Amino acid sequence: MLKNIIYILIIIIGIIFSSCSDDPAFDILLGGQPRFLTEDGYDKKLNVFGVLRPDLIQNYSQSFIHLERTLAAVNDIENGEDIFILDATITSYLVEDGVLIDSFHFEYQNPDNFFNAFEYRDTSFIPIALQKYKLICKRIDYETIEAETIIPKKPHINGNINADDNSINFNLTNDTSIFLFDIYLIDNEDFDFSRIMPSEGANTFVKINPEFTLSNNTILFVYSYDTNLATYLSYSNNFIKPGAYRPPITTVNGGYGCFGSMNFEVFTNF
Amino acid sequence: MKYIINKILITFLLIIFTQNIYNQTNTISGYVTDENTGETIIGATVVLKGTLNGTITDLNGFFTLSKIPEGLNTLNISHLSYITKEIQIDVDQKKSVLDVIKLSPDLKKISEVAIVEIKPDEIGDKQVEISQLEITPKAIKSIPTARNDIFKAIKYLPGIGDGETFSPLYSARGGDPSENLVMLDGVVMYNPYHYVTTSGIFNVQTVKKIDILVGGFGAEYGGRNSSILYITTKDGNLNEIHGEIEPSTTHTKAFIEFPVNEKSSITAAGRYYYDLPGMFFLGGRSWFYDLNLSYTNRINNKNRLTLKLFSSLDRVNQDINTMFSYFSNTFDDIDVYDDMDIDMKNNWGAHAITGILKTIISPKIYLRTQVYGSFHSSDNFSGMKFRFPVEEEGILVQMDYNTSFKAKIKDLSAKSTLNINLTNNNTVKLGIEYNDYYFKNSAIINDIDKGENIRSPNLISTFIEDKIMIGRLIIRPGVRATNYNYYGNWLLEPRFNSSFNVTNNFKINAAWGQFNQHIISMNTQEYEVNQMLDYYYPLKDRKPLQSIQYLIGFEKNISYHSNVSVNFYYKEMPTTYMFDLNEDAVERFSFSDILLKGTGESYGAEILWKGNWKKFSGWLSYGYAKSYRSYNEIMDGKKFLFDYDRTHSFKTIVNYKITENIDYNTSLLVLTGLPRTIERTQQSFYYYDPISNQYGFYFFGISETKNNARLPFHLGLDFGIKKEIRNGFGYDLMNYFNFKESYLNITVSNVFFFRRNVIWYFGLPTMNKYLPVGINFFPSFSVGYTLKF
Repeated sequence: MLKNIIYILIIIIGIIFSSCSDDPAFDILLGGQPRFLTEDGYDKKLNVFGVLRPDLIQNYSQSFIHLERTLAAVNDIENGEDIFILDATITSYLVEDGVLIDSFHFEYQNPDNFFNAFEYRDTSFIPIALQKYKLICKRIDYETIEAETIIPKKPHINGNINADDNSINFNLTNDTSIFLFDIYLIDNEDFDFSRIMPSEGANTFVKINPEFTLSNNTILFVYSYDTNLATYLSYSNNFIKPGAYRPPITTVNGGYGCFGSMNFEVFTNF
Repeated sequence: MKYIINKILITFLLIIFTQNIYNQTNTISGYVTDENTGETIIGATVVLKGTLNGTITDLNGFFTLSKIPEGLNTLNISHLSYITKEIQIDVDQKKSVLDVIKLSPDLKKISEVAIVEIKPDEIGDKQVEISQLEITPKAIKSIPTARNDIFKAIKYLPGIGDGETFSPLYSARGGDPSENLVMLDGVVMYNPYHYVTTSGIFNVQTVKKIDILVGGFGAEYGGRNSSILYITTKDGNLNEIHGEIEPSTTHTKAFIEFPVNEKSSITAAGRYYYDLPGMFFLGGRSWFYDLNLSYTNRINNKNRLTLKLFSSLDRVNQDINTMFSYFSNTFDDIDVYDDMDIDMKNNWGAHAITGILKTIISPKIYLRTQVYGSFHSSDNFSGMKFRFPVEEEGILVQMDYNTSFKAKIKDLSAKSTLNINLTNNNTVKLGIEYNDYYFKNSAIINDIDKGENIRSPNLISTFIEDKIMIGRLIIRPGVRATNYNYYGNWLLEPRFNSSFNVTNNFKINAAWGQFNQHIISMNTQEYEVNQMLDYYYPLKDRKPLQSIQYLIGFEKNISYHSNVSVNFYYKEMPTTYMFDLNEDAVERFSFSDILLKGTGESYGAEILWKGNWKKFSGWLSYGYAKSYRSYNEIMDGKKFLFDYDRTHSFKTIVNYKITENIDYNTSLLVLTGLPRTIERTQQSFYYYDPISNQYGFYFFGISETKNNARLPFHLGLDFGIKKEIRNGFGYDLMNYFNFKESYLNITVSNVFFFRRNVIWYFGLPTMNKYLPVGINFFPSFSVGYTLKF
């Protein structure tokens, strides 16, 4: 009887581990590998994150383009290529009536000059609100990325800012070039952040009740985003839950990522 | 359409009117109850002695029997767990509703009753449901990992499957979980689950019967397209006080039933759970309770009034950082408190109140009238933030994700069902229901308010079905008509069930039906692990979710103690919906804009053997199933495997009575892995800080193909032992409290712990493999006592 049980156990264990692949220890300790039902494989593309903004700091344009490639989910090392792409040709064009009338070359910058490494900039480039810019990003072995953005207008507050010790409210003027607002209320070390979609066809009422007391030093930053950045930043399905259906996130053609623009205004003494 | 409704109403009136004519024949009716407890007995057989004229008591313990000759007759009343009784009745026009018939429990039989009950009368009976599954409270208590939980137990039945590991939701025959109707004594319950234990909110101590219809159900049931889970609770002991206390290492629960007077009784049950491991590891206070109260008054032999109250509440507060702090406050340069923040806060509640009046209008007419209010609220937040500057690389690894979903549901309903026994061979059932709904949903995802959606639809439903016996053939045509004010038109759902008794031990069933569903659910489970509820969402100005079902099967008694059934089904879904998880706030701002409309189909076959053999009892099932969906917005309309598709399912439950006092149970599950979207590529996603003009990023997996892979097969083996204690601590405890019985329950779960059941895969670009993640790293062991008084 005992013999039979042992035989049966051996057969069961054999069946259980028959799915193990070339690294039994890995499989036994952690579990087997997935069984793919489709042939689709690694999707090799450029992945861009570029923001055009009209401000300068120490005469340097704050607009930047960051360029990477996508990674293979497993065994990416076989690609033998760094994730950050530093030798691409990136040009931004001013577009009027569909015609490219001016070009700006974004060059790879010395990372020591900026916190964010691996950035392309045209340090003298100053985009202008409501103008359209086109991005063309070329790199050998990859599909060329193309994208367009219209620089949004500065956010405008319609009427007064109403503030007391514990709250602040105001109306942001309706503007068709703005698709998302980021609002920061900063008071020394304290800050409050709100991300608000503009009301459709009307002014957007904003009321903030920060967890700190407002003072004379409180500063209000309001940022406005174009449709590309608004779409990208408001994307919902970006949690890291495994096994979920998550197509690539993109607002560009030929690759993935986002090329967008923003504007802003600072308010004090309210 | 109005013509059809008028026709139904006219039929209804005609039936009542012509009842006087039918009353000229002799028909008897009444309740069958347990002599000791006064509890109504479901499934008792009532036969006119010396004839084949017989019937079975229904869910209310009620029967009607026609063609009774005038004068003195003998009735034979039997049930598997009771001593067969014969009573003499003198039938005349005035005495057609009998006094309650009381059966005495057969203690010998009860101790022998296995976890499945094969009633000889069930095969070849008048039932025509093709896909009706029954699971007894005793069976639920004997499934080791499902002990005392209905929702875990039903997943051991063919055709019922689970989905996400941490979710209590279930799928029936390739349907979405939101297509399952859960009814507690006729009350529709919304999200009847506890969070921490992913279990149901129904205390098995109060449950009398559990029926599950997984397809092809009759016109009586509607509103959901996949399955009906109908739970009947006890009315309470009419003779003496009884109870049960079950302290254990994980929870404490208690049940009591007692008579108020000679006609009425009360049952009360409660359960409280406090998450001690969670408090230690996750730093929060998480708990839940559920409470059942029931009052039944047997006003007279014609009228019964039942009032029931149900309430459950869950509070969860988990901070994952607490767990990390036991190892270290820092990992390399990462401070778990300053750089990381992972929180889950869940508040769930389900409450219901109902009044049920059961009236025997005449021996041929039985009326059940019910009003209820069913309420649900949930407020679930989860957030994950981290920010790790890697100075030497000049990069910032960052994530700032959060979701907050809130829901409120009110369902106020009034309904009546009329059973009319025209003859022994012809029973008409008809009913009407009015539902007044209130649904409020709101969501904030990644700090963006997705808006609030409040809808208050109402639904009028009416049905009629006629069960007709023609020799060995039974047919039950029926139709359900619904008017949902947010859609406007009356819609018809025709249904047809049939059964042919080839022999007394072998019958063939077939069914066809159309099903509509106006209340659907937002499929938030794919967002992340904490949003695991059904967020119910009423459609507006849209076609209802539809399915057309075709079923055929047979059932055969292979011995006195066992039977086998085989079912085949095909389910066509011309209209199905899902919420677009890949939306952004610019393109799709409000809830109503993010619905995707598609189609689907599922088909399969199931074999179920259940029975008893010597000291063994249990069941064994195999299911083959396929389920697909298609949406234009996903892969350009290409068909993909549905999230709950399991091609092969092998499930078995075995109970072995070692001695008179010891029961040994084991459960085994071998299931094909679920389809999931496993990434082939990883993409950086960027967070942007406009003040500093800095950005941080993290990688997540992307795939253009939905459900492009399957998880490995699922294997689960659990053991349990239940022993009646005759000495030692449990016995002393029983004597101390002066209780009558004491049981020791031991459960060993996850016996195959060395073989991982993978639930997730993480891509590892630096390795040549995916990192599999499972949760069954160790077997678990639990011990508890049950004390009965």
